[in-house]
Amino acid sequence: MSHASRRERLLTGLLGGLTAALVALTVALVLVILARGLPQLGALLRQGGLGAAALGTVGLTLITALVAAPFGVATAIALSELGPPGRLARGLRFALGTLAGVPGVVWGLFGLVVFVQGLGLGPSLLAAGLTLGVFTLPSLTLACEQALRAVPDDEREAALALGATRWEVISRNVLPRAAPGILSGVALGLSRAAGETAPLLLTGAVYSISGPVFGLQAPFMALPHHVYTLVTQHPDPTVGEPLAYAAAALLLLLSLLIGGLAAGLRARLRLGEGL
Amino acid sequence: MLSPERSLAPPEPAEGVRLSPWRPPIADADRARRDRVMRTIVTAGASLVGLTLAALLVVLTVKGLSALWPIAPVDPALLAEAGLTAEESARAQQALSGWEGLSAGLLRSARWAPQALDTPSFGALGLMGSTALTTGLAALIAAPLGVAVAIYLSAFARPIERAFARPAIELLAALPSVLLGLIGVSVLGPAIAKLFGLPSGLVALNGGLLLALMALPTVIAVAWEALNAVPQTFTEASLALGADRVTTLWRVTLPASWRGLVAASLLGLGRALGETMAVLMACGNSEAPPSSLLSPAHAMTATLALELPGALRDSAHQRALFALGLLLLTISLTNQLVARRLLRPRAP
Amino acid sequence: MLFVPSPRSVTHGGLTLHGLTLCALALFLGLGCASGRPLRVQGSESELALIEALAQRFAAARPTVGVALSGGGSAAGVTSLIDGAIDVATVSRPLLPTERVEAARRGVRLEATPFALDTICVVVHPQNPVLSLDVDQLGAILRGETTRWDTLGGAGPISLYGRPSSSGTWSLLRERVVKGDYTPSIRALGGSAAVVQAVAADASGLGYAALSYVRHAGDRVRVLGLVVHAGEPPVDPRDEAAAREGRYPLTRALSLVTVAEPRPEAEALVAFAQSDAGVEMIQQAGLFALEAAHAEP
Repeated sequence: MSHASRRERLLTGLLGGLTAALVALTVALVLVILARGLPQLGALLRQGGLGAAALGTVGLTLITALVAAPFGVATAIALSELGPPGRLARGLRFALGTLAGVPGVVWGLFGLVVFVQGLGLGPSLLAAGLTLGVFTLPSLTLACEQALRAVPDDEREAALALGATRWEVISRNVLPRAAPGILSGVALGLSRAAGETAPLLLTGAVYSISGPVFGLQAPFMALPHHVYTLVTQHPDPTVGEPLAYAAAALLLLLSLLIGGLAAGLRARLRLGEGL
Repeated sequence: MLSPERSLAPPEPAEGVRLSPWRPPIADADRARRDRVMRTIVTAGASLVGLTLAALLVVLTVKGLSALWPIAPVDPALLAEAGLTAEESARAQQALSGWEGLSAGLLRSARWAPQALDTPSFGALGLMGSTALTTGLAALIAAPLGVAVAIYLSAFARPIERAFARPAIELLAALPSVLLGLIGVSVLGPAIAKLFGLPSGLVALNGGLLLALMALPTVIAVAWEALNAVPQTFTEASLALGADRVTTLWRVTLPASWRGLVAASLLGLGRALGETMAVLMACGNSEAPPSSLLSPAHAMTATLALELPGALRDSAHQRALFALGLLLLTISLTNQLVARRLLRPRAP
Repeated sequence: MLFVPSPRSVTHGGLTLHGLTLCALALFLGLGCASGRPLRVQGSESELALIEALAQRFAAARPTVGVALSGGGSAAGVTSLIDGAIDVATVSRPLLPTERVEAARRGVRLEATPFALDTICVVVHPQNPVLSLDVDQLGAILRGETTRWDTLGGAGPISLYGRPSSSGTWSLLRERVVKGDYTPSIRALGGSAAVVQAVAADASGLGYAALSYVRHAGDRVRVLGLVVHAGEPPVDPRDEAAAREGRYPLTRALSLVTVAEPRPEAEALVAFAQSDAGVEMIQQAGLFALEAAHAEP
C-alpha cells in the first residue's frame, strides 16, 4: 500500500539509507583491498614469500577440514538423529552454542598448552591445524545440525516404517537431503579458519622461510599471519604495506571463494525449501 | 540463514521424543551390525568432541588459576652457578620468584608492567579498561546501527533490496580480522590523525570503529531473526486497528522482540570482545591505560597475542598471562550465557 | 529443482574428498620427513632484515637445510631457546640475569656469539630544530620527566615512540639511558621500521630505532647526536669509528645465541654469519662487522 504517512517515509528513508551505506561500505572495503593488492601480487610472489604463505594456508585448511568436518558432522548426527534428547545431548548442544563464541586467541592458548607443549608437537603446522580444527568445531557442528534438522521428519518415519535401521535412515535419507547444508556449514567454518591469525601467533607461524621447510612438524607461514607481519615487522613500511595488501587481496579472494561456495549452496537450499 | 551464528539458539526439541521410540526388530543381522557399528562410531565422535570442549574449560582454568600459587624463590646455588653479581642476583630473584599478590594484584592494579626493573606489576585493570573502551564503543555503534538495519530488512525492504543486502552482510562477516586491521593502520589511522590533529591515528577510536564493523553482521543476523520471530498476527492486528507502520514498529514489534534485540547487541559485543588482530594492529599498544578514545589502548586479547610467545614457561609472566586468558574466557562465556538466556524461546 | 544427491554419490563424494585430503596430507608429511628438520631461528626484530638475508643466502648454499625465521623480540628468542623450541636465537643485547638463571634452572647452557655491531639511533622529525641531546636529557624524556620540546629548543609536546618490552632495543636503552622505567605514555610499536615511519609522520615525535632501519629511511627522519660528557661534541650513531671505539653510548653487539652443543646446522649458520659472505651482507645492511669491536658481547 502506498499511502504511507510522512513519518513512515522518513523512517523508511533513514533506515534504508543506513542499510545502503553499510552495503556500500562493505563493497568499498573489498574494492580497496583488491585494488591496492592485486597489482602487487607479482611483487609478493617474487620477494614476499607468497608461495610459502599460500602453501601454509592450504595445509592448515586441509588439517582443519580433516579434524573438524568428520567430528563435527558426527556430532551433528548424534545430536540430531540418535536417541531421545537426554541431558547429555542438551548439555553438549548448550556447550557447543556457548563455546562457539570463544575468542580465537583463547583457543590459541589451549592449543599452546595442549598441542604445542602437552603433546610435544612443538610450534608446527600440525599443532596449528589442530588448534584451528577445535576452534572451528563448535560453529561447524551447529551449522551441520541445523542442516540435518531441516530435513522433515516424514522422511525418517517413512523409512523406519519400511524397516530401515537407524543408520540406514541417516545415510540414505537424511544425509543426502542435508548434504548442501552440511557442505555449506563446513565451507563457512573453513573460510573462518583460513582467516584466523591469533591462534597461529601462538602455535608456530613464522615470519619467513628459506629453503625446504615443509611438513607437519615444521614451522610454517600462513596468509593472514603474513599480512600481519608485513605490516608490523617488515623492515621497510613503504614496501611492506603494498605487499601486505597483496597478501590481503589473496586471502580475501580465498575467503570469497569458499564463502561464495557456501552461500551458493545455501541459496540452492532456500530455493529448494520453497518446493 | 544468515550465518552459522544464527544457530546459537536452535529450537529445543519438545519434551516428548521426536520419533516414536519403538523399532521393529531388524531381521537381517548384517544390517543390524552395521547399524550398531556406525552408531557407535558416531557416538564416539560426539563424545570426543564433548571431551575436547570440556578440556578447553579445564585446561584454561587450571593454567589460569596457577597464578594463585606463589612461585618458589630461586635456589641460591643456581644463582651462583649462573655467575651473577649480588645486585643481579637480587634483581633476578625479585623478577623470577613469587609474590603472594599475583592473583590479588591482577584485579586490583591498573599497571601492567611485566618487565619493569624494580617491581614487576601484573595489574589487569588497565587492560580491562582498554578492552572495555574499544568494545564499548563498538557496541555503542553496532547495536543501534545493526538493529536499525535489521528493522529495515525485516519490515520495510523490498525483496530485491534484501537480495543485495544479505550477501553484502555475509561478506562483511567473512572479512578476516587482519584485513580490517590493515585498513585500520593504513586508511583509518591517517584519517583519524588528520581529523583530530593527533600525532598518530593508532588509538582506541580506530580499534573501536573496526570492532563495530566486525560486530555488525552478528547484531544484524540475530536481530533480524528476533524481529522475524514476532508473530505476524501481532503486526497485522496493529495495522488493522489503524496504526501506521512506525507506530506498529514502536509499540508492537520492538516491545515484543526486545529480548532478542538485547541478545543481538550482547552477541555483537561478544564478537568485538574476542577480536585480536584488529586491536593489535590499530590501537597503539601503550602500557598506560587509555585516558580517552583518542589515546592508545592495549586490549586484553592483544596483550595475550603479543606477550605470550616471549614469556618463559611457568614464569610469573606466563602465569599472569594465563590468568588474563581465563579472565577473558570468563567474561566472554558470561556474555554468551546471558545472551542465550535472553534468546530462549518463551511461551507466547 | 532441488539438488538431492543419491546416497551412493554422497558416500562416494564424501569418501573421495576424504581420500584426497588424506593424500594431500600424506604428501605434506612425506615432504616433511624428506626435508629433515629445519633450522628454527627467532629473536630480535632489529636484526630481522639482516638475518633474513643471511638465512636466504645460507639456505641457497645448502639445499637440504631449510631455515624458518621469526621475530618477536630478543626476549622471545631467548625464551624459546631455553624452552627448546628453536635452535638459534638472535639477540640485540647482552643476556639478562633472569635469562641466565632460567637457563641454569633448566640445565641449559647458552653460548652467545657476537657477529655484528649496531647502534640505536634517536630520531626526530626533520622539521624539528633540535639537533642533539644529552644522555641525561634523553633519559628524562624517556622517563616522562620532560614532556615538552620547549626546554630543548623546540616547541610543543613530545610524543614518544618505542618498542614493546620483549625487544632487546627496549631493554638495552632502559639499562643504559632510562635507568628506571619508561613513561607509560610511550607508544609500543612492533618494529624499528614502524618507529621510523611514525616519527617521520609526526612533527613532535621522538623515537629510538636500530641503525639499519634509520639508514633505510634516509632523510625522512633526522638522527640526533648524543652528548655523553658535557662540553664534548655530540656523537653520531652512524659514525663507524665512534661505534667501534665505544664513544657512542648506545652501541651494541648483535649476537647469535645457541645452546652449548648445538645442531651442526646451527653451528654452520653461526659460522656463516662470521664468514666473508656474512660480513659483506652485514656491511650492505649498513652495520659494522665485528672485527675489532669494543662493545661487550
